Amino acid sequence: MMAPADILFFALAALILLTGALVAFRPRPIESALWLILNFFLTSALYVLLGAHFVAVIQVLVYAGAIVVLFTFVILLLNLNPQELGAGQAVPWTSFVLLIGTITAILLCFHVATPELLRPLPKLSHPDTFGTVESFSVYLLKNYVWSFELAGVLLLLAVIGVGLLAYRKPKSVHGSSQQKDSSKTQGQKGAA
Amino acid sequence: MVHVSIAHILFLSFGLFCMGGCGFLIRKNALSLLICLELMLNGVNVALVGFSRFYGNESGHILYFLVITVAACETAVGLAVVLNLFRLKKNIRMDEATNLKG
Repeated sequence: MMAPADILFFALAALILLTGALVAFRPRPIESALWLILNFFLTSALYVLLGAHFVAVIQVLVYAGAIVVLFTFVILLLNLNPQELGAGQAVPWTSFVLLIGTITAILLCFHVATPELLRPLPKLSHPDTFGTVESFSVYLLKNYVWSFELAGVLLLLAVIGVGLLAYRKPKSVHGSSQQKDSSKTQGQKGAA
Repeated sequence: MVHVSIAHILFLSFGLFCMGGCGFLIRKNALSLLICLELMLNGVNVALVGFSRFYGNESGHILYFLVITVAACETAVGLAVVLNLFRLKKNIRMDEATNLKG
């Protein structure tokens, strides 16, 4: 007899795999990005089922809220036609890659399908506080504070790097004439 | 949760990871490649949270947190590189980005 939580878990897992396949194999990037949002929301629901409430919130906020929106912005900014995307032509090794990927997934599944690992998940010792913001933060700042700081430094470096990569000099003719004008007016003001 | 085991969570994780990997290898444009990378990272995250539930401590949640930090950085830098590729080549097809081949 299956408990409702079990049925929910298997339904969510099936939907996650379905949306994952749609993300990976839909031809246009915008469709992939939109299916990715649904995939992240379903994964977040799975995290709630696993007792990771704070992680579920982070998943929706950061992944579905920030990262996919960034993808969507870039897709809409570039506004590519199918020829620029290389649509309509498959790479020559498509079927080989699919075969190898399927075999790898099946072998990995067989590798972990041991009786020891197939036992039901153990009961939590403190189910009320597991995965809440408080216990998460205390655990993070007690044991992993240097990793946390390093992650902050990495984010700062990424911001600087992206700024340098995406920066383009403004059009020289227009910009220089504006600068001259502004310096002139400033000089006149100073003289007055 | 009476029947769900860590192996079931790992099945889901492997499925997502392999789908993302297949998509990464057969897609032609750079944006889809980055999206498939996100899918692979999502598969890894499922395994991390599952192990956290299995062992009953929050280490997996911390690792998840660090993984999404790195994923956010990687996405931002990757999208900036794609923008520059588009400025350079006027398309984002990976088979034409061969300047570093020598």
